Amino acid sequence: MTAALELRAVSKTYGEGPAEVHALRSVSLAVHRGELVAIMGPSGSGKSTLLTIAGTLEEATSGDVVIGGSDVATLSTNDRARMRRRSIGYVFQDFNLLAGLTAVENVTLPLELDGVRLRTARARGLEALAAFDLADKASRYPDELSGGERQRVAIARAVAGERRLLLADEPTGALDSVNGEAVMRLVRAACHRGVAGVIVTHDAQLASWADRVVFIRDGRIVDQTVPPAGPESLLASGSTP
Amino acid sequence: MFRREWHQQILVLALLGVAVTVATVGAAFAYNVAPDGRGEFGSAGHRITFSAGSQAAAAADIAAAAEYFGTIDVLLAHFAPVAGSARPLEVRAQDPHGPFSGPMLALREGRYPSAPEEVALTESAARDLHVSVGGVVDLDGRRPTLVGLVENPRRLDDDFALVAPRPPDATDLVRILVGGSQARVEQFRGTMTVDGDVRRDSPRNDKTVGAVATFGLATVGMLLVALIAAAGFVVLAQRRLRELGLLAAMGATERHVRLVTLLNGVLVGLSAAVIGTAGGLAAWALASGRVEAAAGHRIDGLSVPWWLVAISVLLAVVTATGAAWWPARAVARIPVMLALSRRPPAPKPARRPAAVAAVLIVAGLGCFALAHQKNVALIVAGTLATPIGVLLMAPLAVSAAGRMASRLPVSGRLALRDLGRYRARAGAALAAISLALGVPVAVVIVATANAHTAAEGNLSDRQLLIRVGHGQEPFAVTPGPAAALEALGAGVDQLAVSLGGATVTPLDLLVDPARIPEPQLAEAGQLQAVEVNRRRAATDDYDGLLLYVATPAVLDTFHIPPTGGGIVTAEDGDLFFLTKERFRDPEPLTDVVRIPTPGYTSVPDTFISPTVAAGMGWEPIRAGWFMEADHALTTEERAAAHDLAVDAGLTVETRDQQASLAGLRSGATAAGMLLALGVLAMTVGLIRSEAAGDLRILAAAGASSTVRRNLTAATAGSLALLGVLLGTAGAYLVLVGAYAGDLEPLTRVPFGPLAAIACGVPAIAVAAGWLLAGRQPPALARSRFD
Repeated sequence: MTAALELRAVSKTYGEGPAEVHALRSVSLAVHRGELVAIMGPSGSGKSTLLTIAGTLEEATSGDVVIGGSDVATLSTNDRARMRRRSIGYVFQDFNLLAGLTAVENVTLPLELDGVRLRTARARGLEALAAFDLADKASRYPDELSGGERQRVAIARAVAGERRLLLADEPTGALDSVNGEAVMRLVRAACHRGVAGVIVTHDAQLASWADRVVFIRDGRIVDQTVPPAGPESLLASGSTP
Repeated sequence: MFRREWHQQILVLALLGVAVTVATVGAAFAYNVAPDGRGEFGSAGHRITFSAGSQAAAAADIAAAAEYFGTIDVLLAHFAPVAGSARPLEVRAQDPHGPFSGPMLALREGRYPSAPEEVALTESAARDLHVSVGGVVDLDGRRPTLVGLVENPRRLDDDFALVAPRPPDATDLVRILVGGSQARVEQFRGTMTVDGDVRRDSPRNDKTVGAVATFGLATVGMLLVALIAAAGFVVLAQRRLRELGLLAAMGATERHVRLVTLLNGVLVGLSAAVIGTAGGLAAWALASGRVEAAAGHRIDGLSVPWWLVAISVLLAVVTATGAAWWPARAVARIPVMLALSRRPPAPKPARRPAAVAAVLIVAGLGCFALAHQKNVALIVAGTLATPIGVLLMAPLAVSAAGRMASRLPVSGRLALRDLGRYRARAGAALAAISLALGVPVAVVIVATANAHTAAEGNLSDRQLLIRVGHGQEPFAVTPGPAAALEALGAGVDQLAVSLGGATVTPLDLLVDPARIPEPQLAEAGQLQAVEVNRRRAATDDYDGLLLYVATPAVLDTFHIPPTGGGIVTAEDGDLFFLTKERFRDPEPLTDVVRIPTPGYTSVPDTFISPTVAAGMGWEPIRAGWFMEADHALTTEERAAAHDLAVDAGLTVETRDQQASLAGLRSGATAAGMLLALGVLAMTVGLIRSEAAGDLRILAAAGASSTVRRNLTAATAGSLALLGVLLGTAGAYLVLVGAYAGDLEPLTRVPFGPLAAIACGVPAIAVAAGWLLAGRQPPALARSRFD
C-alpha cells in the first residue's frame, strides 16, 4: 500500500560553518492512510522541522519526501502550494486562523485559494463546521471565539475537502485538558475516515491517542512504538497450527 | 527598545531625518530665493523715478538731489527697440562704482564701458543681438563696441545694455538712489521741478516672510511624518507588547510603561534631528550654486536662517515624541495578562474619532463662513480644523472599507479587513497618504482656479503672438502686397512646424481708408489700426483697445460663442468710437456682448463682426498670427522663434514671466504622487511586515505567490484609493471654505492632474505591490515552529 507520507533518509541543516545546525539526520518515516502518528521529543530535537518538511513548507537538505506517491522534490513551488491546498491540512499550536476572516471563511480558505466559487466553498465550509458542532459560530471572527473553538475551526479547515494528510504541531498546547481531549477526538475521527495524521506533542497522554509514537532526539529517530497488530495478524496466526 | 528595534524604526528615523533635511534646505532656499530689493535699489534706502522730459530740468533736479542728500547714485534708462522682439532693451547709463548701485552690477567678462562708443550687455541681450565681446552692437541707430558682459547679480532676469555715465537727455527715465528717511525723501520730492509723475519707492524685504512660509510647509510635512511615525510606533509597541507586559507584571506603573515608548520617541526624534540637520546643511552647501537660476539672483552658500534650523530641530523632536505618545498611552493601558499573551485588544469602534472629525469639519467650515475672507485668525483656524477633521475620518474610512469587503476574493477581503482591524496604524497611514495627496491636490485646484487671471502675465507659456513688421507699436499695421503676406504666412507656418505643429490663427485688424495717417506712421509706411475706446470708470479717462475681426477661425480659437453682437469684448467699462467730432460728447456703444476674460493681457479680447466693420467702411488687414503649441515652450524654442521671426520680418511676443501655473500644476501633481507613493510604500511595508503570521497560515493553506502578491497589491491599492478620495475631499472642503465668497473659480476642475492622481496613484500602488510581494520570506516557515 502506498504511504500517505513517506520520508526517506531526510536530513536538514541550517546555517554554515561553526553556526551549522543539523536539525534532522537521515530520518525515515512512513505514515499510511488512516494512521495517526505522534512525534515526541525534547525541545530542539527537530520535531517541528520534520513537520515543516513533511508539509512542504521547507525543503530537505537531503533525502526524499513523498506525499501520496509524489516526490516533493520534483514539484514546482506552485505545485507544492496546490498540494497543500488539496492534500495537506495544517494545525498549529496557536495563531491558526486569519483574524481578518470569519470562521467559515477560514475553513473555506484553501477552497477559495483553489478557485472554488465563493458560494460553493461557503456551503462546504458550513458543512465542515456543522460536523464540528460550530455551525452557529460560522460568522464569528477568531477573536470572538474561545481557544477550543478556534482550534476546532482550524481542524475543520485542515480536514475539509479531500485532505489525505493532517499535520498538527502541538494542537492542544494552548488548550485546557477538556478542550485538548475534544481536539484529539476530532483528529482521531478524521483518521478513522482515512486521513493520515502526524501530531507533534510533548504530552504523553495525548500521544496515547496515536497508533504509533515516534521518539526523536538530536534530529534522529531514536525509538518508536510498534504499530498494533491488525486483523490480518489474527488470520496469519490462525493459519498456524 | 531603541537599540533592539532599530531596524523597525529606521523608517521613522529616515522619514524624520528627511523632513528635517527638507525643512533646513527649504528654509535656506526660501530665505535666499526671496527678493530683497537689492536688485532694484542696490544698497539705497529709496529710489526717486521720473521721466526726464526737459533735459535742463532733469539735470537741475539731479544736481539738487546731490546737494540735498550729499550722496546719490544716478541711473539713466533709455529704451531701444530690438529687431524681432516685442520688448525693447533698456540702455542703462550707470556708474559701475556708484555709492549705492554696486549690488546691482557685476562684470562677467571683459570690462565696463568707459567711453561713449562702448557698451556692455547682459548675456541674454548679447545672445539676442548675436554679438560677442569685441564685436559691434547694432543698438538704437548707433554702433557701439561691446567691451564686456555684465549682470545684475540680484536680478538675473534684468536684461540691459550698460553704457558709461552721461548727462540725461529728454527721452531718459531717471532713477536716483538715495539714503535717508522716507520723510526727508518726500520733502525733497516736493521741491523737484521736472514735469510729470515723480515716484518714490523703497525696498521690501521678503526673505523672512519666505523663510517663515517655508517653515509653515515644513510643519505640514512634519505632521505628515508624525502620522507615519505614529503608525510605526503602534507596530513597535505591539511587537514589544509582551516585554511591556512583563514590565508591568514586575510592578511598573502605567507611567513607567508609557515612558518606555515615549522616551524611545524622543531618542528617535533627537537622532533624526541631528542627522537631518547635518544632511540639510550639506545639501544646501552643494545645491546653493545651482538654485541661482530659479532664484533669479546670485546666492551665498553660507546664508542660512539659523533660528529656523533650530526650530526645525525642535519640531522634529516634538513630532517624534508626539507620535509616540498615543501608542505609549494605549499600550500602557492594556491589561497585564493580555499584554503577556501578546494579544492586542480588539479594535474599538471608530465612532468617537468620527464624531470628533465631524465636529472639526463643521467648525472649520464655520470659521471660513464667519471669516468672510477677511478675518485672518478665523481663516487660519478653518484651514487647520477642516483638514485635521478630514484626516480623523481615516480610521472610519478603513473600517468602512473592511465592512464592504465580504464579496471580494479572499486576498482583497483579507487586505481590507486587516486594514479595518488594525485601524490604529492603518488609519494613521491613510491619514498620512491623504495629507500627502491632499496638499498637491489643493495646489492643483488653486492653480487651475487662478489659471485664467490676468495677473498670470501677457501670454501663457504655450502661446506666441506674432505681428507683421518689426515695430513695437501694436496699433500700427503694415500693409503689403499679397505675395509679401504669403511669404510672411510661410514663415509663420515654418515656425509652427518647428514648434511641433502649433495651431495658427490669422489675426486681422481694421483700417479706416478715410483716415489720414499720423506723420510718423506714414513715414514708416504704416497705417493706424481702428481702435475702440474704453472709459475707465475709476479715472474717467479713455484707453484704446485693439479691435480684431471676428473671423470664424478667431471665434473658434478663442472659444467665442456666436452672439450676434456687433462688438464682443472681455473688457469692462463703456466702449466708444471716439472721433474728433464726438470726443466732447461721446455716446457709449450699445451693441456690445461681454465674454469671459481670456486671462492673459496680450491675448486678443475685443472683436468686431466682419459685417459691422464692412458697414463702417473699414477694411481688414492682416496684422499677425496667434500661435499655440501643445507644450510649454522651452527657452531654446523661444529663442528659435525669435530668430525665425527676425528672418521673416515679424515681431514675436512670448510669455514675459518665467513662472507658469502649468508648471506648478505638473510639479505639484508629480511631487504629490511621488510623496504619496513613498509614504504608501513605507506604510504598506509596515503593515504587511506585521502580518508574517498571516502569511504562514496562508502558505500552510496552499497560497501561492500570486495570493501573496494580490494581498499586498490589494492593501496598497485600497490605501491609495482611500487616500485619493480623502485627500481630494479634504482639499475641496478646505477650498470651498476658502473660496466661500465666490465658488466660481472652483468650477474649473483640473481633470487631467486629478485623473493622473486618482488613477495613477492606486494603479502604481497596485502594480508595485504586486511586483514586490512575490517572494516568500525564507525564514517564514521556521519562525513559529522552532
